[in-house]
Parts: sequence; C-alpha cells; structure tokens
Amino acid sequence: MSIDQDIRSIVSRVIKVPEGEIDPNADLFKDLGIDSLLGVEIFATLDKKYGIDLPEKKIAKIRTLSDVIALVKEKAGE
Amino acid sequence: MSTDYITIPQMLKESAAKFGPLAALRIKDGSGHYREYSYSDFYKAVQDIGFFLLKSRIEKGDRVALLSGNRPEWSFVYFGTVNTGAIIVPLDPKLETEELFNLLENSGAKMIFCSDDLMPKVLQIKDRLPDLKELVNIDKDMPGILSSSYFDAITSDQVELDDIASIIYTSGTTGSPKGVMLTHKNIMSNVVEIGPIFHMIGPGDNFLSVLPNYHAFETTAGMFCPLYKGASITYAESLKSYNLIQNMQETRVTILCAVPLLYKLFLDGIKRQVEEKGFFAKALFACLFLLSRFLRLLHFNIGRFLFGMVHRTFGGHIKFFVTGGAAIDPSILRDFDLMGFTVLQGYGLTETSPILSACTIENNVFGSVGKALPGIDLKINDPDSKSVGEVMAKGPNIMKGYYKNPDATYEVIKDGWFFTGDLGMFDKNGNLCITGRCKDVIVLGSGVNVYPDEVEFTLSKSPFIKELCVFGGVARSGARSGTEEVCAVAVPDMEHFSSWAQKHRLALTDDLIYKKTGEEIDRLGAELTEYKRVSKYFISKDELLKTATKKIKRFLVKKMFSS
Repeated sequence: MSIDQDIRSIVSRVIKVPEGEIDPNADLFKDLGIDSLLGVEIFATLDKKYGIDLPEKKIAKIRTLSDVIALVKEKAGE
Repeated sequence: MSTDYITIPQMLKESAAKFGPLAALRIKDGSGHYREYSYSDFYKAVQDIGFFLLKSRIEKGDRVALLSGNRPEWSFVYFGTVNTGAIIVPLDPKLETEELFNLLENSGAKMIFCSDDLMPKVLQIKDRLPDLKELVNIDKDMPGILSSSYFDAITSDQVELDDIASIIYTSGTTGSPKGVMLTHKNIMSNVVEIGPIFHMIGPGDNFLSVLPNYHAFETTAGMFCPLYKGASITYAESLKSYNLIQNMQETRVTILCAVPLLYKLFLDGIKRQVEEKGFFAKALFACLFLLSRFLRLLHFNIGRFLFGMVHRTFGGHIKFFVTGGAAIDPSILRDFDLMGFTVLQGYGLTETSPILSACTIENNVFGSVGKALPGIDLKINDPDSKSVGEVMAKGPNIMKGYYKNPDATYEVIKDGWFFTGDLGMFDKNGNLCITGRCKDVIVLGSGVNVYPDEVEFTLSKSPFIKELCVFGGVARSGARSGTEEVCAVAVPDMEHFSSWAQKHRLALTDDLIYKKTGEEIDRLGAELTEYKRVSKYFISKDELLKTATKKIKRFLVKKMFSS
C-alpha cells in the first residue's frame, strides 16, 4: 500500500467515512465535517504510524487530504 | 447549602496554608520532565503578579485580559488579577484578530497578558485600544515578574463577595458583546456546592486539564475545584490521544473533566484498536461487553476487572470522568459504564458559573443531568402537556449580568430567575432531563457555543447573499454523528448574480450559484474563528419564512432544511 493510500485509510477510519468517499481535494473541515479535535486525532494516529510529530498548530493550515499527505511526507523525510 | 462563602483570595490563602508543600500545578517541559509548582510556589507567583499589577497602577475593578493556552502561568495571572480586586477577562486564543479587537475594546482592558505565540494578533490591534496601558508577554516578561522578592504583602481584604471577579465573553465578537460578569460569590458558591460530585476528592488526586482554561466548565470544575480541595492539576501536553494517555499514566491522573466529543473519540479509539488486533480480539471484546451487561443486570459491576487493560491504558487510577459543555449520547455513558468507568454528566451555562445540576456517583442516571446543586432552585417555565418547558434557575451562582449590556441582561434574568434557553423536564425522582433548546445557540460536540446572529452578521456582508439563516443541524454521519454542526440556508441575490454573470460572461446555472455562494461563505467565514464557520449550506430560491416584523423564522427554516 502506498503512503497516500495508507493515509487515506487512516483518515477514513478516524472520521468514519468510507475511503471511496474521501476526495483528496475535498475540504476536510467543510465537506467531511472534521473539527479541530478530530484533526488532532488524525495527527495523533499518523504520528504513531510514521514515528513523526505533526504539530497541532498546523491543523489550522490543513484543508484537504492532499495537504495532510504532503505534510506527512515532509515530516517523514526530515 | 453553605451560606458562608469566601472570596477567591480567601480560598487561595487557605489552600496555600493547608496544602503548602503539595503539588498544585504540573506541566511537562521540553526535556520531557514534569515541572511542578507546590501550593506555596503557586501562592507566591500569584502574589508576585498582584504586586506587579499594583505597581502598574491596576486598581480594583480594572479589567485585565488574558490570552494564552493552558499552562501554569494562565492560573498565576488569573488568580493574581482577581486577588487584587481587578477583573480578569479570559479570552479564547483561537479568536481571529478582529473578533479579539471587539472583545478587548468592549472590556476596556487596561492590561493584556499574552503568550508569545499570540502576540502578533494583539500587536496588530493594540494601537486601536485606547484603554490599553500595558501589554505583557507571558513568555518574555513573566520570569522577571515572578522573581520579585516581594511576598505576602498583597492584602485581599478589600475584595468582597459581590465584586466582579471575571468577565467571560460568550458571544458578540461581531455584534453586541455578551460579557458574563461573575462575582466572587457566583464562582465560589459553585466551587463549594459542587461537593456532591467531588466529595471524595482531596490531596493526592490529580486532574488532567484538557479543556481550554477560559471555558467556564474548565475554570470552575477543572481549576478551582482541585485547588480548593488540595488536589493537583496536570496540564495536558497536547490533545493528541497518545499524549493524553501518556500524561495519565505518568502522573497518575484520577479525574478528567472533558466534553462529550473527547469521550466519543476515546471510545472510538478503543474500538478501533480492538478491530486492528483481528477477529479474535474483536470477538473477545464483544463477549466481555455481553458478560458485563449481563452481570450489570444482576447488579454486579466488575467492568473494571473485565476491562483491566483499558483501565491500565488510562493509567489505572481514574476515579471518574466528568462530562459537560454539550449533551452526551447516553450510549457513550453506557459503554464506559460497562467497562467499569464512571462518567458523570453535569449541566450549566457560563451565566451560571457554570454548574446548575450534576449526576453523582450515588445518583448517575443516564440521559439525565442529575439534581440541582445545593442552594440552586430549578424549575420549568410554562410546562406543556409532557411537562417540558424552559429550564429556569435561581441561586448564588447566577451571574450579575452582561457587561455594559443591560438589555441583554433583562432578557434573561427576571425576578431573580435566570432563563436558560434550554428545554427540559424532571423525571419522577427529580432529575433534570434536557430535551432541547428554545434559544438559537448552537452547541458543538466540543462544548463551544456558536451564536447564529454572529455568523449571519459576518456572512450577510456578501452582495451575493440576499437572505441568510444560520442554525444548528445534527451531523448524521462520520465521527461527529449525533452532534451539532453549523448549517446555513442562503437566498441568492439574483440581481447581483445576473450582473456578475453577465460581466464575466458566465452562464448562470444552479451549480454556479451554489458554488459561488459557497465561495462567499468561505471568504467571509475566514473572519470568524474556525469552529464558527459553516459546515453545511443550502440554497433556497424562495424567500425565507418571516414573522410579521420581518424576522426570519429560524426554527421553521431549521425544521425544513434539517429534514
């Protein structure tokens, strides 16, 4: 499974929305009903999976699944 | 009920004398170690801040704003201010700059304590705040303030029970602000009378602080109560679940006060982990639930034993959880109960300091918010055939009023009774059950309130929107299912749309109208704090239903579009 698919699967499980319904460019907050607390939970799950520390302050800057994927890749590559 | 209430400075002095060497506050620092402040350290810091305020000519009744995330310094500033007779104005760090400006201007704060990360927001607006005399950077200036050798010289005798201790803004970041004025008596009566819930709490207990400190529920239940009882407060490292679990395990947390959404996330996390462990773990977990359910029917509660692993994950020392701020799904309470955890639900509003009623260990009725605290009278106004009506409250915890807003105060306090805006009824045992709301406020699962008027005020600036109605809809799917979210119905201004489409040579289709309206909602919504922004919107080509005075009938619009 690619990292993109993996992240999509994690987000899907946390927010309880089927993977197929998550458009990578959909607004996570507006279209998928995520709020900051759920955003933190997604970050926490990704932290554990990839051994990284995604800063909570970045949640406000994240809009889409693609943003999340880019952030994880950036952090994992550091 | 106790009628011999004490002021906040008296409480703090007594706690420092009684619990001096015990840990009061605790936070993990960058090196991974916990920094602790004893009650004596805490009291000294409070005195130092008080001395600094007096030196800066802050007088009794002056407003001091506080803008920071949860940390020991937040409590130092809160109590340091209140101890001198000045009024603390705790603000939400998530507010956007203009929202912040409106509240700071309304409060007339003479001094602002602000953490370094939030300074840029304040620096943008400070020159437009004529009352502001001093801006203190908590990270840079605090070490100097706290190194003062001046100690125990601040006398708090001039502070009286009916003096205002705090102004908490519940709304009005755009329209007419509603700053809730809470007196020393309001807050301390709630702290003292909360006894039925916290009677078994004392030195050795440890509260994990996860909710924002400016939230009245956290201020009273999560900060005042432990400090009154000699317990300690551990500030959560972050809201990430693994950090919370780590903090619970490392510091032997015994009490957690949080909002329903957090408990829902905990429960989802537990279930997810079980699922990930495979079929057998899932089957075993389901069997344990069934067994626990069966044993509960026989009045045996061995959930703590059956789900020992889950208890150990939470550190193994949890006495109970407290939930408040929003309604919790009773099934969450039941699932925690079957696992041997006690979750107590409380009810109240910022205007009531905040707790009005609560379930206790001895009287934990799922679906109810328990009985009124001692000294508080609750009644149902104008009950219907099902005994449901607006909940009214009277007691020493009812706010003094809204700051500089007598009209708004008059609307909610009549003959000493506070009209909560919530609909409820009493069960046969006198437990209050909240059934709905007769006010427009939207209460999100995270416990924060969103006032439709504020959102409408901001979004109505769009020339593309002719009419707008904002209301709380219940999310039907996803992790937030069952909780409220901000919804809007917009009536497009077709004249403006036509000329705009003509100008840009676009075909004016329904899709375009929907898309552009959404863009406008996003563009203007950026002026609002993130949680106030619209989650779901609908387009109505017909005018919205209105009263004879041309006010939109929000209740009917909500009913039409919720279905």
